[in-house]
Amino acid sequence: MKLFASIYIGSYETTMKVFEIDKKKGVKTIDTLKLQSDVIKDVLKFGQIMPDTTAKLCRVLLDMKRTIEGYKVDSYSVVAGPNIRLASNSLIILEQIKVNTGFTVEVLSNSEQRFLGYQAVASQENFDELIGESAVLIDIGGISLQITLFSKGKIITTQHLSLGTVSVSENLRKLGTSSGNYLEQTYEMIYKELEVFKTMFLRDIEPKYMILLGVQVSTIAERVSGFSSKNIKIKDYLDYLNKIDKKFLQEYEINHEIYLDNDNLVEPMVMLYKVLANTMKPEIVFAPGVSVTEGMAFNYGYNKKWLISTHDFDNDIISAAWAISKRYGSYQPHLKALFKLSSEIFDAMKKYHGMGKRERILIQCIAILHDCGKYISLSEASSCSYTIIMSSEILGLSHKERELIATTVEFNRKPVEPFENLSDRFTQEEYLIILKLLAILKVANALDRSHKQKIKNVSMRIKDRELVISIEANSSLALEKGLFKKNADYFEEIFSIKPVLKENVKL
Amino acid sequence: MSKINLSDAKYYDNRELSWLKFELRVLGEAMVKELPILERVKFVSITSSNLDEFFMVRVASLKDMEHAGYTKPDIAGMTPTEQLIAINEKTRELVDSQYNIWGKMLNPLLKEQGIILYDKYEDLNREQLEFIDSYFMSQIYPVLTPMAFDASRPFPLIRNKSLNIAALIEKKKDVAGAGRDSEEVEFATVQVPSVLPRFVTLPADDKNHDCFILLEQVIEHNMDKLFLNYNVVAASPYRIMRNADFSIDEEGAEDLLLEIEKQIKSRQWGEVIRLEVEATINKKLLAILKKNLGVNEIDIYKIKGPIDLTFLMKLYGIDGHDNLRQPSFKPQDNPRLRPGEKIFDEIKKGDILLHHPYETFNPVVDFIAQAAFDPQVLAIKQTLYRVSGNSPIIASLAHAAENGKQVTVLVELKARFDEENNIIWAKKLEKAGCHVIYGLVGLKTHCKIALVVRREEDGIRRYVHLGTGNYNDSTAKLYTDCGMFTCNEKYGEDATAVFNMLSGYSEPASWNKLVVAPLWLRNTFVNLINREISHAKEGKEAVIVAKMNSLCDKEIIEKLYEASQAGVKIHLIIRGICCLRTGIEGVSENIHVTSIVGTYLEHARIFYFYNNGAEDIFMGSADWMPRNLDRRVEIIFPVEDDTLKAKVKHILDVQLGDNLKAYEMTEDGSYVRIKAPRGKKQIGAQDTFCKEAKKHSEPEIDFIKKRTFTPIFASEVTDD
Repeated sequence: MKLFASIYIGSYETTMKVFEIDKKKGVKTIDTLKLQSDVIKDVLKFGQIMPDTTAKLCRVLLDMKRTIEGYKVDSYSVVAGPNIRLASNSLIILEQIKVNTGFTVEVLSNSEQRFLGYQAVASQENFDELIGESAVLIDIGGISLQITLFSKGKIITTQHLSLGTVSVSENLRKLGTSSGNYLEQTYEMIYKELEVFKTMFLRDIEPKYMILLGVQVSTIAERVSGFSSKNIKIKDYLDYLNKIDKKFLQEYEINHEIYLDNDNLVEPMVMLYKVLANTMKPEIVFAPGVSVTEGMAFNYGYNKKWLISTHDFDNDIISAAWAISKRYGSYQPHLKALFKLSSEIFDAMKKYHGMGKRERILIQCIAILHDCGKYISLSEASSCSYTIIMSSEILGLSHKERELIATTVEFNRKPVEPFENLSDRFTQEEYLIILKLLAILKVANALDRSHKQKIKNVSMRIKDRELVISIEANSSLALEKGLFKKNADYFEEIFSIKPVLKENVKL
Repeated sequence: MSKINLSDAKYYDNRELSWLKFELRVLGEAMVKELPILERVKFVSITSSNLDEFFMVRVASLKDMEHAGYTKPDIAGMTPTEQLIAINEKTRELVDSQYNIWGKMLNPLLKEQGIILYDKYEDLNREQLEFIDSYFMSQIYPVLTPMAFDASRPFPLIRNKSLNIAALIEKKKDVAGAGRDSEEVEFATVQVPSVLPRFVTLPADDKNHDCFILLEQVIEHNMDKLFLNYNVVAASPYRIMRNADFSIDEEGAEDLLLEIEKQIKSRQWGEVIRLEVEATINKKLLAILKKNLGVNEIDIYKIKGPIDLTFLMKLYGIDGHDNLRQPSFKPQDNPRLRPGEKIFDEIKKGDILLHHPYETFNPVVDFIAQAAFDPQVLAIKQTLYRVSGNSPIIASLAHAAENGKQVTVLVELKARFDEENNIIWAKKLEKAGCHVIYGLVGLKTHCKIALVVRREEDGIRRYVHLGTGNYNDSTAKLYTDCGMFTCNEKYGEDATAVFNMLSGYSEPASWNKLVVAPLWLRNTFVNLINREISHAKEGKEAVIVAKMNSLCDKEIIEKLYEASQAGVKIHLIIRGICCLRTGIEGVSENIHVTSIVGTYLEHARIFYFYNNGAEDIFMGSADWMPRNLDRRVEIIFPVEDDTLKAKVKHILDVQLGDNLKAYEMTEDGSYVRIKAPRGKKQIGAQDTFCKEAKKHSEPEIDFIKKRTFTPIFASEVTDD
């Protein structure tokens, strides 16, 4: 049994959770400290985080630190949501936190934050069952709404809609001053946005489950919509949502003698949930009540092997990549061959390239996505590929990893740029990874240049500084062989290992 | 039949008058002939100090309201002025019977038993007179500060609650400057020093009796020594009570708090709300006091005996005479928590119920003490309301902090009359490294909860103690309270959440077991009563049994009336104030109120709901008073373990069966003693619990293993 604590500095509240992590029993919450903060309020109002807010934040973090020390946790992690970056003084705030509390805060990118939330949900016991049929995963943020569609256990797509609690709330506020039926108008706008998603992605899929995940959902809102069971029939769910309006909230406050914080966000959230339910028409709504803090525990637990995941997160990435390639009409047999070949080269070269499991997933994604841009323009394929990859969410990859894939794919057809030109985006290590992955991609690509999958029974081994690729072919390999040299030279440049083709003549 | 309006004021009793009825019941114990004489003396003393507190807090608040022109009627439809008039009348009756009991019954009885309190100086024998003269000169005289009042000197400031002697003095004729205006008498006053014992032990008389005299009498007798050039015309003790309660008792008038605060600021010294003088006081002397203290005629109490009977508590504690006191009962060990037992191991076996003072409070002290030195313990969190001076719990908490445990303590500074005491040891705890929270803004923390977090092999385990009484090892010997130990995960999670909330963090999305005021408590009780009502309406059996200290919340009382109308059988065991009235046709025929006044102060709060057979039992820190439900942090917890439930039900059963110390509320709102049925033995609940605790704590003898029997000899047989 291990103890792990996660601290999440969100836009509306700061949360600390202490978890018990055990291989058999999984992750159990032991303690929760939660307090609302004015981070986003300050950012929206002043463009920066004000001294009072910072002081309060530091005090709360110190309390949390004391609690963590009290539990003598085995490890802990402190992260902040991406919105903190919106503050002009975010670096100074992070430094002040460090000086006052000793915490080094890691700021999450949007996709990292979403992934942690996803990891928490996907680690729930029956998650694979849910997505085994079909499900939509809903993550409502302040500025955007992320929908991930699963079918038969695989990710079909992840889309961002610019509908968040804050944006809807702002909309309501603006309309409220100028129009009488502002609620209807806002509803109409949300419906329209979601209809687009529905027609483009839900064509032949009727999601059975709707899984709710909320990061910036305020405590009270959680409570207002909190059902005793995690599985709710859609009818009960809608009945409940329909009950919640301004009057209900007021009465709720009076009856329970409490003050709802962030209550201006409850209404937009209820609206979003309502429209989502009406548009997606799932049978069952699943609200596990977990968020980033749980995700941090699972993430850490998996990495440290304190836990074994029941859900294959790597597979999510690969299946999301495949879904994108299909969407942009890439020639699947070529991609499959390339996927296989590049993985094999990666494995054979393991001792020499020094890359790990994570980079193996990257090369696989690169193989799958390397020519998706052709869908838009054959001549501008490389930059189109870059754009497609950068604007497609792949659940499980960080923003940086996606950029790495996109850049590698771009360089496949364009000359490689020197590090100096990329140093604003990548570190030296990352740049080297791009070069290495590119080299592998080029060799693999050369092996199926004709896109005809002529090569059969490939085997690879390293011998005397040569990567010997033994192949069997069922037709002429003239094209492949001709192009092979150029790509093999680049490979040798990078690894000092020369790829050699050895053709076993079929007798 | 016209519909009955349940909120009609005529269905409610005024809380102050109800409290005075409780005082009468306490005083009633002083008349119980079966009780040893010193016990009876003690009850008189208790009523005296209770009455003082009542004036300083409740009467003072009402006076404030009256001054502020507040006329909103209370639950029983009385305005503050009406209440004050009624209180005055009832208080006089109470004080009269107090002094009748003391003067006509108890004092003579004490004399028979060889304890003599002289009320006249002339009764002292020669040896005693010599002693007292020398005592006066050596001990008393040096600490006296006589103060005079005349044209050039303002009327001296008389301290709240202090006993003083007022005197009229005139200049002696043969002294220079005298005679010009021989008619003129001057006023002087001297405080009876509080540093000296109120009653002075005299040498025994010829029959070797214990003899005492009151300090003020010694001073009064020696007044001439204080004013050497004067003749003392008249001297008489007096005492005042001021409205000095600067922290307004918030009950009932929060909309006027601001107004009242202004009133307070405008007066430098608390207004005198009661003046007690001896009945024999000189008229002129009284007139001077009345005028200069600015006291109303109605607030003057002429006392037929010594003023301020709280000194009788000291008399109760005099050396010897054990035969005149009830043999003290030694709190027994809980059979599951004998000394030296590892408490955490035992709690792990199942929930444990403690019933104090029948069972000892030691396990609660040990709970913290063992946690302080247990290497597996990570953290201790506790709320402290009123603790004893020199509390072993505080020492343990400090040790724990020094041993590297994380210790969080919520200290309630607003505990009435204890503020100063609390600050001192709270600072001490902080020094030791504890994290101390000094209460919450706007709320009094009244809940009693302690949490110990342990890291065990299979994970974090939380041990929780929840109680109805304070973590005070001294009062735990006098107050009847219940407590529960549990390591049930659900309670543990809630306990953690409670402390996080008390530290200022958000409430959890849901609670498992605990019901916390001011958030959910009122609703929970209303819902529980509603459930019984609906059962009754469906023709099912419906029963509520509730034991508490006070009942004066209008919403709850109305609900109880509604329940009575629906046919719910309601038994209330209420020690003190009860604004609900029983036996009103169509309103409260199904409600039965009893009150137990015994050796121990009834203090536990237990709430039982029949729930159509699936009984729910709750215990906790809250009474059904607005302040408990709305303005304090309170916890009510369910008792779920079947064995424990049976025990708690037994407690209620025994209390309801009391026909020795129990009173019953009658239809006219007065209380009468419950009489045992003819030919049946009288049974007192507190006695029963003592006997049971003794029986349970006897070690179980395993006959099979021992193979010998233990005979009981005549000397060991007690008459049960």
